[in-house]
Amino acid sequence: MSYLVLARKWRPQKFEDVVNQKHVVLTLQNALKTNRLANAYLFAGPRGIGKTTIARILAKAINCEQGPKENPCNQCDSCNDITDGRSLDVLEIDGASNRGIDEVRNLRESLKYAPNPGKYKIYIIDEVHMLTTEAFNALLKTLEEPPTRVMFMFATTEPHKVPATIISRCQRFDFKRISINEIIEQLKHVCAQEQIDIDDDSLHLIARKAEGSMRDSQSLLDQAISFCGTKIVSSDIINILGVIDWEIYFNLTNFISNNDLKGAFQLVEDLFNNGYDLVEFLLGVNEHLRNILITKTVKSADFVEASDNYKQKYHQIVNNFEEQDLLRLIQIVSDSQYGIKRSSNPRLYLEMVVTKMIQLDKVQKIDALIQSLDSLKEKFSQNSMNVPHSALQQKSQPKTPAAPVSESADQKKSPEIEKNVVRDVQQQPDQKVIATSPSYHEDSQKAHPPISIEIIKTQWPHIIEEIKKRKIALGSFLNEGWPENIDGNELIIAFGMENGFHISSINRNRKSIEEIIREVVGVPLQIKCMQAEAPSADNSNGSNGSSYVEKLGQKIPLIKTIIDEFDGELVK
Amino acid sequence: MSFERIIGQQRVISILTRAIKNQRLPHAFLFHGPEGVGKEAVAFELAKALFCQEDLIYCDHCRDCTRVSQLSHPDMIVVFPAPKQPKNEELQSVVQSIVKNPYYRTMPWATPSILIDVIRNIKKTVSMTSYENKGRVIIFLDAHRMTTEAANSLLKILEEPLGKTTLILISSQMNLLLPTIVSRCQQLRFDPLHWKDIETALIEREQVSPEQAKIFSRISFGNYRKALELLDENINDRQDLMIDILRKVLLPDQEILLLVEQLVAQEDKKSIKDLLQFMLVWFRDALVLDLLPAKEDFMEKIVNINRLDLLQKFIAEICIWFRANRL
Repeated sequence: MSYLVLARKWRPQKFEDVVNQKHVVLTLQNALKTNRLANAYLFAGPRGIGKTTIARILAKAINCEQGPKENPCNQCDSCNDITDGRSLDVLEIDGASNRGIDEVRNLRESLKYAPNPGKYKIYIIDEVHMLTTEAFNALLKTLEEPPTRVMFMFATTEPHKVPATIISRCQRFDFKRISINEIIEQLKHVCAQEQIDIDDDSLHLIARKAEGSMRDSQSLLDQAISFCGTKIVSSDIINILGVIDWEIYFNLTNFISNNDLKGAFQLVEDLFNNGYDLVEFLLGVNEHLRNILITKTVKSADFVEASDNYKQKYHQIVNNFEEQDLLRLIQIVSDSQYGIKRSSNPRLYLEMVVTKMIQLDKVQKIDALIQSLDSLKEKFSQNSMNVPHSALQQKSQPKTPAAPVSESADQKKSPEIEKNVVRDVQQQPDQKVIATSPSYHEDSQKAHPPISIEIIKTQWPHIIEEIKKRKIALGSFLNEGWPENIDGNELIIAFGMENGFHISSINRNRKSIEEIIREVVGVPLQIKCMQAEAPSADNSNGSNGSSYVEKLGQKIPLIKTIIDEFDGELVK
Repeated sequence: MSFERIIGQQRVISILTRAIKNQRLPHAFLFHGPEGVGKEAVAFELAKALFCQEDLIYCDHCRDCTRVSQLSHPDMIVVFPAPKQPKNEELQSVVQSIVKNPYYRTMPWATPSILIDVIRNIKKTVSMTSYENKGRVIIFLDAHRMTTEAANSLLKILEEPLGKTTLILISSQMNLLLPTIVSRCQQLRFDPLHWKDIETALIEREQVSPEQAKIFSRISFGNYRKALELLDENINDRQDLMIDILRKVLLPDQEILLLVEQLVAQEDKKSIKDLLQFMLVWFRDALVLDLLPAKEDFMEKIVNINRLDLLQKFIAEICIWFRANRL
């Protein structure tokens, strides 16, 4: 089997073939041209981008029989020897295995012999960061003033582990990651030469997965070839490389915005059964959320690294999310990345993360919140003047003034009355206790007074506020709806057509909502939800309710501010 | 037929078979994927394919194949994490357990590593031609347990090994490997086993009763090794114990303290950990059942399928419990 992996087969043999390291290549070629070679080079950069390759080419260019010149001829004995790794003058040393001081001492011993037959004795020390401190220090003197015709080349992925004293004695070159497009170009070239038929999507997937490393991309391509033969399509790539199809992330965010837990569980199951790396999946989710966030904030998908098709998609889904929600989702995902690595059951962990993401209560924008608060206040100030009256009259119970009554006086009255009167004042916690006590319960059951939809309508904001005190999400959901009608002791709450899922969550919490409604209006009502068109004007009683205070407020802004800030009421 | 000893993993097998047939086997493999899904087992079968000359893939009965199964092939080196100076019996026990069942392996040490000296020895060996001139296979079990020094000193042979050498790195935690190592290997991802595959394997290989196999296969979450480990335990007892604990916690019952004391005295750390795992799975089942009440939805997803009625009761109870304690 004389099969060589692509990465070895396609290792560049001359400077021109090295991809995307122009800054290094140009400098080195000019040095060769002008014969201004340094005696030590340090090549640093991530894996698989050409450090060792360039070191070998440089060695060849220097020792070439016609050199030193800009490019090795790759034909003379010297070049061939170096390519095959059997040159006597170019020694490639594995810094990670020969890392001790003894190895360095041996190396120094060998320095004194002149190169033969080449012009220079070249030491390429790969993975130089693994040398011990002693070994590095033993090198220092040699490195600063080496014998003539001796040259060092160091290659490392972790230059920060190399002592500063070494770095300062070398010419340092930092290699760049290779961009996706350049990887694609190179792979295309390789595929053309190897007579492999591959589509652009596949190349894109491979280049993406390679994270800027040429060798990685070639290993991946190799793998694809061994699986598919000479014809490669993207679905195969997705299958064998475990690249997660971007579509899955869109599915996930759809499940999140639709609160679709069932779909999400199925998604996790599919991921698991297909053997995807769940950690990688979480990383991908984060990138996906980031893409949405960026598309939303910048209002353009230019910063998103994706094909045009997906950029379009980002634009479409952007409006399903609020910025704050996205940030919180990203937070959840980032926090769980650490956890899932240590989890003994990653699948279960991911299921929980996804559940958490879906059940996350959506934020309300502060502006919107203030607005709804303002309208609430407005309604209250109107209600406190008119409504209680009618409400209590209907219940045919003795009633006193509409304006807030002093609490001490009220406390003594029966809970029902108290409930109806003190709605505008801050609720006392102990009142809740009274309200839920069984005596009260029986009482209202017996009384069973009729109640009109108008009362519910005017009390609606108050009910919602009560519910929000116990469960914010539920209140927000209910806020989307409006009381439609009363049928016997059944209160019908209507929701807009788009709020179907609110209904389901309200149905789940029906008991507690009914209890709160009973506390507030004093009548046990069962709730029933339905979907309907939004009402044209749901506060019909608002028009005639503009009080003197409001008129005053409109005339003098300061008074309006005071009224708004302090819940002002006309006392006299 | 080849790869008969492998449970599931059709995709992996088809990739390897094609590569063998097309003669496109790379010199360095990285088998990665969750634990207990058969990475080691596949690696040994691949070694047979590399040595065997009787059959297109491998015959599984020639001298080469049997010696690979016995882990006694002179040109196959199996490296596994071990302490600095391991006892010979301990090493033997590990080897024996692998020979007995490649899906299972004893680990007599707490946190062993693959040390740089081992790698240095391998380099020395690799520099010589193989004994039988059919190339050499080096298999690294738990490759992520290589020390940084060991991993770095492996880099050069991993990129350009001498002679006909194939290196197979096996790891369930690829994120712990150096990126420079990963980049030099052709990666082959292993999937978690489907519970149906585990179920069949348990019945056929371990003579587990079908009802038991059903629950073992689900609770192991695609990990055959885990399923084998659990075989020793009476799973129904564990379930009952866990349900008992939950019941006492929810009631709340004073006896819970006695029970905890008893547990701590009787059980070791691992079995308590397992118990917690059981509990976690139970809660997850409850969640799934609550969210997906339709039978056709949950039948495939629920683990504690033999305790369905209890699970349903539990959900009802826990709802009441939460209502009493919160809203």
